[in-house]
Amino acid sequence: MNSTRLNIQRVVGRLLVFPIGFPMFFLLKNRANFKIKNLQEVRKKFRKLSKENTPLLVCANHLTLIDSLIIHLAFGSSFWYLLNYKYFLWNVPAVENANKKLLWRFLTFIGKCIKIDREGDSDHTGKILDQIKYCLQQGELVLIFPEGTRSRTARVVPENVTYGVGKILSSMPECKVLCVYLRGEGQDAYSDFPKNGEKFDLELEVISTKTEAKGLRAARDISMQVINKLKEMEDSHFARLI
Amino acid sequence: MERQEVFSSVVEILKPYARDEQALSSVTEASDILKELQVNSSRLVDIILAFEDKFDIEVDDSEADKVATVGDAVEMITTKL
Repeated sequence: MNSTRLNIQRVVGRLLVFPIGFPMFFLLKNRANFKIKNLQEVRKKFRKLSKENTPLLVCANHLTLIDSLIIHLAFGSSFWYLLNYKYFLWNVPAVENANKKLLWRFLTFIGKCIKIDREGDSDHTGKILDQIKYCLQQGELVLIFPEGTRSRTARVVPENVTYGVGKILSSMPECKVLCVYLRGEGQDAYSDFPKNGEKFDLELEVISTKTEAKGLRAARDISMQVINKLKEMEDSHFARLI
Repeated sequence: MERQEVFSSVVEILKPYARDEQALSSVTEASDILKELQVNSSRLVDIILAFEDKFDIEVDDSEADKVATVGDAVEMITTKL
């Protein structure tokens, strides 16, 4: 696997994380008025987890195009990322979304993104999975949406899970999974962007996946463990609202 | 098992995953599973595992990666029977 591009992205991203990250985070907080309800608790928990010396794959539910940005905002300030750039999450957006506009193309390059063509052949998918594993082995964190796309039903649907997550985890049994359930109060359907002034609930849980199965069955088994945990977190989220 | 019989079973397995029902009605061995039948690529693993169960065979990752058309699937299965 050629890691040059990833290393260039990392260097350029590190240089720009504060000058670009600061105004972006400022706009998200003060223009879009996004708020993470339990921000301090989330940051404290994330910082503790990220510094454990074990590979950590971050898996989240997916409702808007900027979920990854909201998760970044929740996990740290731009200043914190400047000092702890290793913990700025790699992200795996769909190439058709990431390359839609020149600005997005630039931002996803400097924002540690590994772009995936969801209709790509197995060679392409294999290369992307190798790049993700490389990042994890370097002690960096990678964010994946196991559903592969924004949930059309606005709920986690275990049957829609993709098996990339399972393929990564079955070849890296030491890797833990940080499950993230993110939902804005007004997010009752999938959308491109959350509503202005949105207040987000964000829950974190760490799991270790295990399977006796081999090959593709192992990938399926592990992917199901991850998506079922997200579903369980979603059920708890809605149970708390009643 | 005859090749035609394997073909029919493969098509039967693909049925619930194919989004283009019209393409499915005129399916041949040359039909591309992802592009013509419009099967979601994420479901290919489910399909391969269904082949394993139906034909009592084992398919490893590298073999699964080579399955692009219905004919590829039929060929892979018949060589294992």
